[in-house]
Amino acid sequence: MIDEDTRPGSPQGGMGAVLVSYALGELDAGEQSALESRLQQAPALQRELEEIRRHLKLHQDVRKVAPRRGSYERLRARMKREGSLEGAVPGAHCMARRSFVAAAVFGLVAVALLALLGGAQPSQSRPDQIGQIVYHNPSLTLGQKRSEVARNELLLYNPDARPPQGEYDTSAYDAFLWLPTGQANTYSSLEIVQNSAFRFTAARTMELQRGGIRRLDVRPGSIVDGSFTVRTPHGRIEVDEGALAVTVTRDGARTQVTVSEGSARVFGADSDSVFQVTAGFCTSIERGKLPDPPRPLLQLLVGQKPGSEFELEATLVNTGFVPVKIARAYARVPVYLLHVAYTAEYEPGTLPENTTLPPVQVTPKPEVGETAADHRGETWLEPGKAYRFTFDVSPVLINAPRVEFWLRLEYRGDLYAPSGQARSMIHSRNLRIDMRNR
Amino acid sequence: MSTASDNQDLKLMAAIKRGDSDAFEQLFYKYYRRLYALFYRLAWDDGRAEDLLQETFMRVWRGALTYKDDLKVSSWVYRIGRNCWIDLEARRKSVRRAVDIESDAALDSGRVDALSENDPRATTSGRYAAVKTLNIIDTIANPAEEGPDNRAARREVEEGVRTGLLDLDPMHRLVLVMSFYQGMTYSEISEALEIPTGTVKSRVYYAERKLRERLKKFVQPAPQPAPEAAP
Repeated sequence: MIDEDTRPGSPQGGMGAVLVSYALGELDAGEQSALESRLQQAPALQRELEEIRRHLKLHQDVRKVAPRRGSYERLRARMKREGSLEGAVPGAHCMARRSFVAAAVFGLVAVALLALLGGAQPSQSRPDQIGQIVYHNPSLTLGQKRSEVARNELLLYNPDARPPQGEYDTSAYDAFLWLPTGQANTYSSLEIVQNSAFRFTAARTMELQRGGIRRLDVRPGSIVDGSFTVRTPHGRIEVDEGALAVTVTRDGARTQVTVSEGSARVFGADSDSVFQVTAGFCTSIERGKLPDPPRPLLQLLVGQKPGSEFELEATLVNTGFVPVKIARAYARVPVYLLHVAYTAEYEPGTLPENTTLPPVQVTPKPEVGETAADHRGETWLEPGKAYRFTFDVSPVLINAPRVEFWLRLEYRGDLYAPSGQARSMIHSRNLRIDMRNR
Repeated sequence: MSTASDNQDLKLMAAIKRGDSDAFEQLFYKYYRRLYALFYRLAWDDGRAEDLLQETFMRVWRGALTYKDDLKVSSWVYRIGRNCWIDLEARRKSVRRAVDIESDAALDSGRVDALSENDPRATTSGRYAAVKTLNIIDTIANPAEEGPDNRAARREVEEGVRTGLLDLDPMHRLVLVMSFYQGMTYSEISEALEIPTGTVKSRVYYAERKLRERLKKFVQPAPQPAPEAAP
């Protein structure tokens, strides 16, 4: 029904509002017929309706407007200018920003709560869990990781637990150990060979009873954690940071230590003496003996080839305990360098003069049955094995004075032991070649 | 009850949410004339109408992910347009206050040519520019049909409508333009502006009454000549 309230200031304008609605076609059929019957009896309402219609007509006659051409192009240009088109999804960057702000606020609140609760650090799932152990099928070749077999928590040794926990035997598998250092994304890792027995008496103290650590990669922990210690039946090895290999020999007689990165301190079980073993060196310890002094992993030998006056034979021998990858003689950068020195003949009234020539790169001379490819690239040297080649020194000596020469060969390649990469000075003993009577 | 147009809008919005700029272009071309006309009648300025149109569609693009299907796309776009216009009005008010203070200072200093924002000469991109454009359009649209007198009368009506509309309360102006010029029903306006239908009805009524009063001389019927005596 039509609202008959025509009082000025009534919420919906009373009859006037109905007339406007009528003119705009907003009334339903019932309201329309009611109003029309009322209009017939009220000339004043008719006049007002006529005015409203004229008013509407006035607006309808106002000229129509249209946007200028190129509105969309201008919009696109503005959006591009303001960076609104960035991102595949509209508004995603705004949402990402909001998410970031929310995450930052959440993080701050979490940190504040932790501080209020006494600075408690995030606890591990178990107090005696120090890392993770992952078993793999044993590697047949160096550096190879086979398929994963199992994955467990690495627990501290606890003899009082029933059954005792924390004693590990890798038996037929290799094992990888991951030990958090307490710093973000930083782990010490161990690669244990098959048939090894070990346990951890502290987070950074390992007792290796049998087998070996193919690669022990130690990253520094907090100050209070101290060095990483490996105890064996023959002594102990302490590492602050570095990479090394530790092996208890199969007969159980000694422990062999090879350092490939950084350095380690090696203590014998029955002595107070300690040796610092640096990268590229190795040592072994036995019960009842002092540790061996560290020695280089490789030994370089140079000698004259039998039956040849100016041809020398170089031999690089792996004298360590682990396989080592070495560079062969043909290389892009000089690897084998020959140092030549001689002394002028003594003459009365003059002083002898020492002369050292700049080092020269040696070029191998392939033997019968060999090609240049046999001396190119890198190769693994198993313990006790050697890489051998011959080279000609006549270009160096042919125009030299007839004096005594001292020749020394240097190996400058990196050493890739299984546990890392080292670079140490390896050179041969001096070789004397007497040219005075030639 | 959704129409084919509404369904098409929903598809376009779904595509825009995935970052489809072609769908955005389609949506723009579907609504840009109506929105431009709305903004033009609200601001009566070509430059401001264009700015509002751009701002509205930028917000449509940025806020596409927040669109919910339970609202008609057209209503959603109109809501955004309304918010843009309210923002612009708020900015203009603060600018106007600053300009008034500046004008007072200029008058005090003897600079009588200081202009308030209501003066058509206040902006070069403002009404002078718009009026100039209108004249050109008029000339092109009605080359010779309209005599100089009619043209002057028509311009007088338009000027009356313009000043009458601009004198209205902004919210009343908005509903009146939507109703009179956009042809929107009360319920459509109600949905677009998020206000009850009764409020729409009363605002239209008050706005119409005030504007009719303002345009009385154009609205009232011409006085009827006295009937001649029968021969």
